[in-house]
Amino acid sequence: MHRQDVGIVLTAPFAAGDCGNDQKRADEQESQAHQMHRIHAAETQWLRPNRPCPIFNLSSPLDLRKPPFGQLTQAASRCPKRIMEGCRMSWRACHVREAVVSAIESAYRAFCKERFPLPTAAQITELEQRLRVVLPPDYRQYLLITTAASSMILKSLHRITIARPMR
Amino acid sequence: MAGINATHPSAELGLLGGFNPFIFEDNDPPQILPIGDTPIGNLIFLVTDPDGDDYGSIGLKIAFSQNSFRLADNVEEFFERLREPSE
Repeated sequence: MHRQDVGIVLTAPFAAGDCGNDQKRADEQESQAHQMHRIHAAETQWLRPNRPCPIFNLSSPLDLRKPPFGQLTQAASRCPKRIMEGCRMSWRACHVREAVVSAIESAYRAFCKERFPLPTAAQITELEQRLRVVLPPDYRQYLLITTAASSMILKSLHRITIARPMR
Repeated sequence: MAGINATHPSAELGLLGGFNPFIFEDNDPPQILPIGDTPIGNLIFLVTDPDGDDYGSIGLKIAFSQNSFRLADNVEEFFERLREPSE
């Protein structure tokens, strides 16, 4: 995984509490490889069911590397949209976009017991004004995405495949 | 990652009890927006400086350290990396 220093200087400690000089020194001496391992472990732990999740009530561990996510990823790799609609995105970008929608849809189907209400576009606009930020378009879409919208995308892909078979 | 309308106040975006951009000095107006964290206290943030080259990218700041890393160029790439981590 390729990651770079983002080059932002943060001028205040993130978490409350004092870690002490020894802990700070130990953190600074960690190798980058060790830090990446910690990042991966932390990201994996976040998906465990005993971790409060703002979006899903998880009934079992959520592992995006295993089926049904793997199956949907393979289906998305066929990418009929790119051929049938003249999609100008690169193959990888198109693959990623469809796979993300599929993963979210699958997560709802497999693990969601209770769906918390999603924000509206007006609420996000109000949030932007309150925070004085302009959210990137893809992040706005992430906040707004619904199971209905992702289902429509998947159904339209299926309809296109049937109506206009690949040559 | 946090959104709004979260049922857990600590996961809410932009509130005093949740992820607030003003936990950092000199981040007003916000150049970065905290959008999530990890169990060991690392911070996931979104770059919101519209004039910067990193606009829209997602990064991670190590807890109790000045080190930060770029995780992805956008939210889609972030999910992609969650699904297919390299060993």
